[in-house]
Amino acid sequence: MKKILAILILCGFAFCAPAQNCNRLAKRSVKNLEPFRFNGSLNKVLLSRGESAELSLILRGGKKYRILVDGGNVMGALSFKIFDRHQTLVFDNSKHDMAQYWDFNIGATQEYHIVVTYPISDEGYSDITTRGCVALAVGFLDNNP
Amino acid sequence: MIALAVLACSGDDKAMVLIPDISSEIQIEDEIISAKQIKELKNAAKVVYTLPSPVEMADILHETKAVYDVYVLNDPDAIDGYVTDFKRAMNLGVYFADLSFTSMFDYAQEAMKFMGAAQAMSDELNIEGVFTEDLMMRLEENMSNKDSLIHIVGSAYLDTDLYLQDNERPVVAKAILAGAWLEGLYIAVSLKTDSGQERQIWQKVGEQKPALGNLVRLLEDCKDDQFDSLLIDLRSLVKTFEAVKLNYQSTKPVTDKALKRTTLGGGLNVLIDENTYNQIKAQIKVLRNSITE
Repeated sequence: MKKILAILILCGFAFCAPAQNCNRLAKRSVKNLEPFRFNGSLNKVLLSRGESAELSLILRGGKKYRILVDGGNVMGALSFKIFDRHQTLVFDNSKHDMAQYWDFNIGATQEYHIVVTYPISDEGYSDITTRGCVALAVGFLDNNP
Repeated sequence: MIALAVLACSGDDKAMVLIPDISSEIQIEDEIISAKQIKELKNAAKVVYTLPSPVEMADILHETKAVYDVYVLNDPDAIDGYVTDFKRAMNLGVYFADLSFTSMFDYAQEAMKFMGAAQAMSDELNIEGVFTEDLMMRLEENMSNKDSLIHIVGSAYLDTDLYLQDNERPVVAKAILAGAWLEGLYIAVSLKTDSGQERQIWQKVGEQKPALGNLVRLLEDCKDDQFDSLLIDLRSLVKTFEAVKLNYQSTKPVTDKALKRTTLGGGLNVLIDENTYNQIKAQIKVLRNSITE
């Protein structure tokens, strides 16, 4: 079975297509970060089935982070993977029941790459007409508050 | 077919478009995408980089326990001097940073002044629905509550972001981002510390090396000549930062499934000498003053 991966640019401050209906989802994702403090940079993107989006993010040492993806009810569970600056896979939510958020203790300040994918359907095709908004929100706490 | 989202950041402010690129077709056979494959994809695709937000920059410096002086911040009454949209956007970013710092360091009265300045800049830029009466009332009601204050500032920053995205104004958005980050760095080099603690500030500034690279890439992608002068100064700053060495030590991630938590260990050693720090400090001060003057 062949699959197609398309990389889209995630929409941080200044990077997103107009998508009014994304805003409610985006705000919900920020709210769902609690008790973590929203880091102030919201990312949202429109994805079709089989497509991925990638974001480069600097996470600070000595902090606890929550990374949350939300595609709403229509898109269902999204895949997200995190790679370190050496391109080593350090987290894959498919190994954790497709958890839509995960917490991280960060030892040292470092740049990470987060790849979010709208998985292809069970039938194994990528349907570009099925499109939805994905929000990715990041929150942080002091490691020892 | 690979669909690459491209943000046209030129003067006509066209938003993200999808460009089919058959030559870039990448087909994956396996269920799980390996790190190697992702690396290959990255080489062919454009990646978007982010910067620490004003709230995050304020938090970084709050950790240092340094003494914070409100007089290093921009003048909240300087708003009338900013007459172009580009200058207004850069200084809206500056005011967002100043607002974040005053909130984080418990200077509530000053925070109110910067909120007023940010509101004025936002109005001049025709950014609607952010600095509303409701927001200003909530600010007044929560002046003594630091966490609420920071939350309100973060919400205003987010709503500004969402508004600019919806209205396809990426140049304004990137100018705000640049102004905010540079003001954060300017405050960092202007902090007063005890002699024994100054290295802590140097390290925090040194840690911003990747973020500086990200900012340059973000603005270069924009291809808007309003950023030309700023980019010249930033590239010069990048050269100075080349003397800063970041040595990472990685360890294997440890996952606790029950707590839904992964620990990404390791350490970061920031090597920065006094001469380099002083050069960085001098360049940042000139750069920041060129924004606010």
